[in-house]
Amino acid sequence: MNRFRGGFEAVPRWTIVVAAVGGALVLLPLAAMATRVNWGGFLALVSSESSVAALELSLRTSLAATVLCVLFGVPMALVLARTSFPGQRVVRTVVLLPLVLPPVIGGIALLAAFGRQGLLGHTLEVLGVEIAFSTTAVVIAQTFVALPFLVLSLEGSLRVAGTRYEAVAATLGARPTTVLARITLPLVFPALLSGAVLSFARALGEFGATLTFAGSLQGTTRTLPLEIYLQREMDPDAAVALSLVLVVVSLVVVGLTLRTVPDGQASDRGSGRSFLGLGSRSGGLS
Amino acid sequence: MSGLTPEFGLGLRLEATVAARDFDVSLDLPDGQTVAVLGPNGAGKSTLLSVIAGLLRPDTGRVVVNGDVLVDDGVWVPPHRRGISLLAQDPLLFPHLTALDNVAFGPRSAGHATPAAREIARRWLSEVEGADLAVRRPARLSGGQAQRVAIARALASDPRVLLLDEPLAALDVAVAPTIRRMLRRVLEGRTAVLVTHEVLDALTLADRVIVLNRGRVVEQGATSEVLQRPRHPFTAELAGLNLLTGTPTPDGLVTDEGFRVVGSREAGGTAPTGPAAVGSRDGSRDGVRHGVRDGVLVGARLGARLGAAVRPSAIEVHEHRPESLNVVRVTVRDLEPRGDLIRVRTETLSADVTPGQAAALDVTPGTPLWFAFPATAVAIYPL
Repeated sequence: MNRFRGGFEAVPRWTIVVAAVGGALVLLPLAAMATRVNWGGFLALVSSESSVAALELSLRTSLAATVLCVLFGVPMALVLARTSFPGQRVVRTVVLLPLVLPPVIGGIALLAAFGRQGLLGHTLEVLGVEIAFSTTAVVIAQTFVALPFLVLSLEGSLRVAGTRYEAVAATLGARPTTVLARITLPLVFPALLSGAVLSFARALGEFGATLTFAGSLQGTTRTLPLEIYLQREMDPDAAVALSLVLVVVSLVVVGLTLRTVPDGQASDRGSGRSFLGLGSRSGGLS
Repeated sequence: MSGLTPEFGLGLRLEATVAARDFDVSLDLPDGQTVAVLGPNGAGKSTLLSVIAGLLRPDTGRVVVNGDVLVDDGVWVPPHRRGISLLAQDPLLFPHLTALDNVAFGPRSAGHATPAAREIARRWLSEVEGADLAVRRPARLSGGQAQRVAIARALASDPRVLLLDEPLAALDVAVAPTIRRMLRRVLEGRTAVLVTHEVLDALTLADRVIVLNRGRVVEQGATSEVLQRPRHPFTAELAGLNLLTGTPTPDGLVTDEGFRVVGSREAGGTAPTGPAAVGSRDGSRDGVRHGVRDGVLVGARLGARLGAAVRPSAIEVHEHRPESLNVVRVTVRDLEPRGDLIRVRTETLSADVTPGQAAALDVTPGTPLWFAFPATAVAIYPL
């Protein structure tokens, strides 16, 4: 934080050097890629039919996956943060597993569950639903990998926020659902928002699980990352141009989140006293 | 625990145990009365409030409010259907709502439409002299303002029982008296449980007092009586009294430390209690009703336990043994500033001396001294 500008800095000099090398590791490849962009043909490259279809599909599916993440992730975070039941640690570990799992394994697992030969395949077939290799499969794959981001972000925030406001609301006669809607969710809204944006970003970048579970059909399951991977073989210039588009979209998304949620968690609507503890107090000595 | 009277009447009746916190308390609060709950940290005060509010499920017990059974075997009424609101030390105003909407939260939850709920809220805000705070967010309120809004919010839900958890503890000393007066006004005729550390809160706000220690009720009764005739060292400390306990002698008692204390016939006159209150305490523990009348023990028998209360300011401090009926040899344990006096603490008694006296006697921890007090300064009562 720049609140100590000009004053004491509790940072050894050498950490700045190491941090700079780490930063370069992230920045350099992106900058290098930008130098490879064929700026002359850029517009034509990114506005080809397949590119536009892929971008549109990516945005559509990522948005749908984000909505699903919120719908499922909020109750999941609530259950994990506010209740205790036997085996809760195991459940939390499993729920967060997609964070560290290679996405291709996620795709194989999804096929095993929802594929034609899968666990629920027959049931779904009877119901006339075919999931594998459809746009629905893309959304499911994205939700699978993105859900932990929302759950993790929200659960932490719920724990920090504590139950004191909720207890007060209950003693004022509010039913649990009213408490959730009028107290809990507004209080953790910044975390919900940043969790949703992270989920969206993760869904947007999904590749392995999508390819395995949904395949690569133009306009149906071929999202932007898949399109880029395909173009890399056929038209490297198009791949680089599309990569740049994805980088920019991601930057905008992440940038928007950081602007909305200044201190990671703090809210400009909060009381600044006990609200979310960490967030608005992080100024400490200011 | 003795059985509670059948729950026909109004008011709050509770008996509850919470094994994990070694909590076993029963409480019977008539309708319209305020009980102050005193006790050291960890005595179970918060546990008591949580059980009443429904935020903690007791292992056994029952809670009855105005005849409605809230907790019993197989009965559990959740907090939002109890009609019991909670005012904590921290106002805990919802940070995303204006002061008005904070106060309107209860009425809205009760099913009032927003305009009607806001109307109720406005009325309660003016009741706490906070009408001008209506549009402010909690972050823009001072501590005292926030607590006033919190009081309005707690009352706007029209609770059957109001729970107050050290409502003045977090406030500036400059603000606390105003809020205390306000609480005194709104608690009038209300059934309320007030947890506090402040004997002043108990005196000004409560009709009755219970003292908790280690999850048990160690004293209860009318506020003035409990504070004037403490049975427990914690209560004595709160009331600013020395408490000596022991067994009866013809003219007083022998303390557990082994020295004799003499009360006098005039005890009622100058002792911490007025004569009217003397002898009203029921020493039912050993089955014999006894008391003190005009300083003379009535019905005290061998083996009964007595308490003797002495004000620290009534104790004279001497370097050499003085001529007095009640003389105790003490060693100074520590010194503590009390306003413009110094409290000299020893292992048994505490005495208040002026800084001049303290300097003249060269009082420091470890100094041996004589404490003396007249028989007229001792109130003796059965425990």
